[in-house]
Amino acid sequence: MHEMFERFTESSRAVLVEAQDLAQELGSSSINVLHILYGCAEGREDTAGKPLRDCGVTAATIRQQLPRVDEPPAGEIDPVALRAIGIDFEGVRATVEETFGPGALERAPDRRVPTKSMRRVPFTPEAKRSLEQALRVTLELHQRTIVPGHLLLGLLRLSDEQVSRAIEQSGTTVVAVSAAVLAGLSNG
Amino acid sequence: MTSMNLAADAGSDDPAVGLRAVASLRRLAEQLESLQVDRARDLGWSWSQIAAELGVSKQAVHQKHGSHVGFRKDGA
Repeated sequence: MHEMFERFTESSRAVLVEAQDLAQELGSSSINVLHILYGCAEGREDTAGKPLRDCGVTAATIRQQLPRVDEPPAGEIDPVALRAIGIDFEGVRATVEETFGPGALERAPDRRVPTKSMRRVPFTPEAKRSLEQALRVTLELHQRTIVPGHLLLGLLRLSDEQVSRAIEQSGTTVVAVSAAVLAGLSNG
Repeated sequence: MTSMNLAADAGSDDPAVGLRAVASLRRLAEQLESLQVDRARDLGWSWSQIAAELGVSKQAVHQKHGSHVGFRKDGA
């Protein structure tokens, strides 16, 4: 994975940052294929953002298909999960507030030394596969750096149902978008 | 209410729920630890006394909480 990211252009990194931001915003504990597709559409650049827009696929339409996850993000306290093992989090909170005042528990710091693994939002297996495919496409096209267009082709190659549906909902097809992206990449 | 039902439906035999519960407990324990340690210090407890109650070494508790005590009063 590491050597792959070294080939990323700035705009490809920006795609993944967008994807991660959206995942976090929606309360998802991992970055999935639709988050990456959103990142591709959101980017104001020529290799993925433009062909997507030309085909009528916008970040807004992709976003509409992403449900908000109701679970708290990983690393936060999940009262529902605690209740499932018999712990009354609200009760704990109320008791703590008796001694420490209102809101004390929410404000209390977690002083574990943060490790890399605690901070990173992981990719779903399918999202990881799309990145591997992106590298493949790049090499097949004899190109050195991975641009957003490669990331998008990586997604389209998965034959993933969610990705296909998101694209078809915008009134186009995976084949049409792929062709548009490839045309842009070979002009570059 | 819906969240209560969800918990009952999923049950603690669902690994996802169980694992989230474990992560939540760790987080909760850490936050409680910070609150209790800071308060004990405010009340004049020594690091040795706090460490003994927590069942860890004096060095460990001091390293983790030492630099924070006193800061939090003027901060948020």
